[in-house]
Amino acid sequence: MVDFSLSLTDSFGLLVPEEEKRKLRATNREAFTFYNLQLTPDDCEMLVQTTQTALRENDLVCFGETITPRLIHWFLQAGYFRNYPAEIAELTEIFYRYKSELQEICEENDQRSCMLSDNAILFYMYRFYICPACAGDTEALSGLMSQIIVPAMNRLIHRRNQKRKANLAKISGNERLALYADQIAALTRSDEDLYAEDMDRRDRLFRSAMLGDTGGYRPAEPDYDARFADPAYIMEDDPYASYDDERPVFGTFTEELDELLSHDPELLLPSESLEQEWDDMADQWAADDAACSELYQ
Amino acid sequence: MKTELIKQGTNLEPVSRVDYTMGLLVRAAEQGLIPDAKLLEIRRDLQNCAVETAQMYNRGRSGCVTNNRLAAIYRSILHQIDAVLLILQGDDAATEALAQRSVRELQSLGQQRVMALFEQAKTDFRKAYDLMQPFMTDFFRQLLEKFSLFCTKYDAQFNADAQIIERVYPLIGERQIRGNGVIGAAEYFGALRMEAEFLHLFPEETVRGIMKRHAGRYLMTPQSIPDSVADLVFRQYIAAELAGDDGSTLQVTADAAERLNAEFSGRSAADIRVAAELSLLRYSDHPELIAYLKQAVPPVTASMQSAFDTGRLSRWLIVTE
Repeated sequence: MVDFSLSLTDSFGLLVPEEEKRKLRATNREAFTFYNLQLTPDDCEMLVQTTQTALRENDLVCFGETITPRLIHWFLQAGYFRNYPAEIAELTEIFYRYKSELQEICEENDQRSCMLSDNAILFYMYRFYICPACAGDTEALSGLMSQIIVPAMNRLIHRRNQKRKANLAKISGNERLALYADQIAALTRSDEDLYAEDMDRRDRLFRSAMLGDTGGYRPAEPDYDARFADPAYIMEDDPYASYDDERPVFGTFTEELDELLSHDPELLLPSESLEQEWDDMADQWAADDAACSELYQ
Repeated sequence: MKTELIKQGTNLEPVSRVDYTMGLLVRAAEQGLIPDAKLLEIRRDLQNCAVETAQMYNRGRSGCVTNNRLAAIYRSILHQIDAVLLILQGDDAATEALAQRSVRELQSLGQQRVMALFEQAKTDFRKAYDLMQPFMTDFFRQLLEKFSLFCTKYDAQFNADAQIIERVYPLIGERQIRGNGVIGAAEYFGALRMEAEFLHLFPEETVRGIMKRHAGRYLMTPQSIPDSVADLVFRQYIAAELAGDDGSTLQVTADAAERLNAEFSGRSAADIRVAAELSLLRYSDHPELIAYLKQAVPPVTASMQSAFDTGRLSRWLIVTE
């Protein structure tokens, strides 16, 4: 008899180990050609098991390909690997730990729009990994994710919740508004919408703040200067800014990122055009690997 | 074709309307109503639908979701399918639909049905709220806060079975609505609208008088009574009609209460129920309302009979001078 009484999540599992191992082996082409690194079949087996354990321990269900092949492509260029397979395993565990933690924060608060994409999490991990504070140290990277990205997500959610509460408070005192709350919401563009619409400016800010010079980290974009040099400009321009009269600190990448996200947690979310670039990049890696994996059939 | 795909499930216990699709599938598996191969196909299709929905949830930018989210997505898909199968008004017909139609088709129809129910629920509550203005109580007003959340936050695609509405205001005969998600919300708001329409069959002043006298018994204001105003009025109506008076006046004098007691206290529950149902014919030009009130007759007459048995009829209704 077909058992429909069991939880459907128990039977869910699209992770095919052989397919995963083939994808991992396919990354050897780039790893070996450019960095003289490679994964053995035993390494691939270990990485597949690491992924399965990480998914289970972090209460996640994978329905597509796992993150490890893409993660390898993101991190290879750093050139920091000493014990390549073990470090890839550590990075995989870190990815799923923070994926789960960040996703749960969003879900608990019913803020799907704040969810970070896989590429965005990899981006933050990579930026920490290569910054002088980590310089390839995965433990330090995990610490920075916990110290900077998780609190920034909490702040972002808190701000959006406050905004939502304020909007609800506006209508809760008025019966007619409360009765037609959906129609009013459709007519009124929230600050979130306005912020999202300002794509060009947001894209420019994100790129200048996150993709700037990795050493001194002081992007020369005029917007950045305007944003950080003149608090009055910020107060007027940014609906979420809550700056007091303190001046911005120019320091290491992590200090400045922490500062930036403290003031404006909306910048945690990458712009749509950057996400698209990352998607294209990941598609290209996947296509190259697929071509290469035929060799391993 | 039909007999090849599904065995008739007559003489089986009716399937609960809550988690209806899963109930039908479990019953079909246990009773062999749908062949195993088809059941496996349904299970696989449900899984595929869940994957597609999870991908949409992640906007195609992540390959995993939390277990809780996946469970919510499954519940959402099953709720959408529930919304379609419940229209069929019968377990056999619904099982046949599961056997004949693809999960994807049922889900697609279900999404449309869920959206229609969402709109219907909102319209019904708005109408009920407006109609209840002359008889507003604090308990009814409490519904408004959650209603505005329901209006703005209900997610028909990824969390269709979310229980946003708290059913703090009771219905006639303490009717319980167990359905979750928008199905339950639409049923509850539809019931509130119907009961509000019922109150408007009577003069506003008379209904307010009933509220005032009921509140006076418990030393509170009419606005703070926790009971269903429609339930109070329905009791008055049935009692007056069964006592041989004009129920539309909602007046039950001490003499009428005595007549009622003498006539019905020794009668069977079925007798009282039939008499009460007949009394509804006065409003036969409101067929939808009559059908709704007919469902409320058994619990209300049962509580009336209990009042006869315990000698508490004068507490069960409001005796007017």
